[in-house]
Amino acid sequence: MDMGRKILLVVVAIMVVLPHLSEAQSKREIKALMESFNNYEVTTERVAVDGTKFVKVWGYGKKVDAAIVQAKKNAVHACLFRGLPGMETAMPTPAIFKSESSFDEHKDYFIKFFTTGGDYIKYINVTTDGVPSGQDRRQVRGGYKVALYVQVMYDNLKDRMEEDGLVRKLSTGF
Amino acid sequence: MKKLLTIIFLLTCAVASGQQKVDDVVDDDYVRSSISTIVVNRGDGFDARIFNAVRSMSLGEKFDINNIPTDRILIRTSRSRAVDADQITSLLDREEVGKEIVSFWYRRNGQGEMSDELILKRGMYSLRDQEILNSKVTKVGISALGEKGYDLVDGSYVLVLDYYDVYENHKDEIYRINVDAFIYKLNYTEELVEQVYDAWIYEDDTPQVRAQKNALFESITFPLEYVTTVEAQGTSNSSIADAAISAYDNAFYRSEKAVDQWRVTSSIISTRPIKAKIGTKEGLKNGQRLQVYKIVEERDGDLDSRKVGYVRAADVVNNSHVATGQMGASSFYQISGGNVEEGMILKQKNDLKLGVTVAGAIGGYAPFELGLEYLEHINAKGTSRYLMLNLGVDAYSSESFYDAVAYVNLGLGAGIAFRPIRPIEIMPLVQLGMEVLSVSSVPIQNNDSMDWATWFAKAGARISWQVIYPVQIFAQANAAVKFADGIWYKYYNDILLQEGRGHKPAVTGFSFGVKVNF
Repeated sequence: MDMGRKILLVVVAIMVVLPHLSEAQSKREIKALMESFNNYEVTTERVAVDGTKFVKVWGYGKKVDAAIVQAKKNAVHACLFRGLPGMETAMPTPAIFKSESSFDEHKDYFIKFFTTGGDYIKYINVTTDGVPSGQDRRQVRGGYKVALYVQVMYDNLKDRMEEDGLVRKLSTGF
Repeated sequence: MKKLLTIIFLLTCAVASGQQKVDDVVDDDYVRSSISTIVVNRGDGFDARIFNAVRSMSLGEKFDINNIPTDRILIRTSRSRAVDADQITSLLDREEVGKEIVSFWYRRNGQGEMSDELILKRGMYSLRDQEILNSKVTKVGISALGEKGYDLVDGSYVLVLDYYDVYENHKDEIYRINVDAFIYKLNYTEELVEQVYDAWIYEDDTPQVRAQKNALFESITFPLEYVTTVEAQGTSNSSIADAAISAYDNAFYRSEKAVDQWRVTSSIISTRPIKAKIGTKEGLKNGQRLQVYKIVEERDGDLDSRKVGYVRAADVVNNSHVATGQMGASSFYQISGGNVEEGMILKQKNDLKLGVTVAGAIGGYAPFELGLEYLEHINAKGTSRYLMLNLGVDAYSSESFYDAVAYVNLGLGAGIAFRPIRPIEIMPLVQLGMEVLSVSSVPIQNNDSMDWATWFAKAGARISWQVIYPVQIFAQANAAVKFADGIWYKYYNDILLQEGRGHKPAVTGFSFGVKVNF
């Protein structure tokens, strides 16, 4: 086999395998995303300005930056699917979706929605001063666990879900 | 030699990576404390001088001052011995100092009317950027943040200073005094807070209601908890008042180490250079040492603080104003430890900024040298200025005199140290000093002591390696010249020079030694 043929063979092999590798990678990311949504803490910090929620939310990642990104996603996820716990001066906030299984029902939509840098970012303001620090930045086995102070634009998020047809508008129910 | 180098290397590695566990979990939640100072009078002639000396002292910006009516208490015992904490405690209880502190916080006037003006003002002043940023997205907003001041009341401390064991020698101008600083904390519980509000007088309260509320307030006991006692000594060559001030300084230095709540904590916001949002408001000073911690969550969910290293404050920001959300930050230089990252915690850990050196020399004027070095300034790149005091001794038996001969020199100097990399310090230095020659069979008379002395100037360069914090080993090259030899110094030194042991007018030498910082 001459050298030209060998190179051609290698290139073809790479072209065949690469899309599958990328797919496998993507599957891993989705699995990681789903797993991270199963295990996070969120607390309501104070009564926020109208239409928003002010929460302290935790995220986990191999590096601090990754943990921060995950915490932001978790804040939005909590408003959509888990609801927010109450506190002394604030009532609990119900989730926008009635069931966490709604995620699976609209899986493709939410996988895209929660892609890093995706649309979820439009519905939060991070108020943490600089980077998470002190006891809000914990080194854990295999990475970091960080807490962020986040204002979630709850009403806007709900409107978006309604506009996208994932949640029925209140007015349509009558 | 190989073994020694291996041990040194292993120790260095251990320190670089070693992150010890600490018992309490450190956090960056430092809250300002306030202090009332009380002096113990003994009913003797020192009372006024000591009291006035203490009143002239300022604790700086780090603490709020609660000026209460009781600024001294009388215990009529001899000043030759200290009083004990039980005596102090019973007097503070009798004088109801706790009530005075609460009355000060609430600006309680003669009619029993109270105001939260001071609490809100101090609350606003104590805010951090994080609280400002959080408040901007909440309904209560920034204006309500002053209410944090209510938490500050619980951080009220009393510092009782008892001076004793006075030594005054006017002839030799030596003044010395000891002080015990008894530290108490107001225990301002939720229950007490509610009782104070029950006793709050409103404008439309009838005289009868006012009287009832005043009686209620007077019936409340505000307990003071004993925290600790620190002992210190002060000396002066001018007056006992100055010695009292010196003792106060020393006692306060130790108090800051003893009371954990007084040690400033903050988080690192950037690492090149290391920065944190603390400054003049927290009493931060150039060269001040802080310890770096990281938080580790164990598998069982428990938190541990692990020591990462030490830094020193370099450029201190003036932050003596109410937080805006965009406060400035001070910069720090890391002097030891492993990787420092954003988000790690800084905690004040004062030291004296002193180093002691011990060195042996080849050449030069003294084969054995002992030194004391004070870190006068450090910048964010680690460039440091040192002030130095050096003692050198060259003693032996002279063949000419069949007698003991000793050259003793004392030099004062300064050096500027650069750090190309953190563990390495390169320092040019200069010194000016005096050397005295003594021959054991020839007594030095007071009136001709300068005849036995000479002056010298020394210049040198030192390279130090921090083996394990706080220990450095160093090598130093020196050149020194003598000038203005005294008559007898010259006479005997010339004889000793013929033996080959006298001190030449100009010399060069090398010294090798160890420096320990504390």
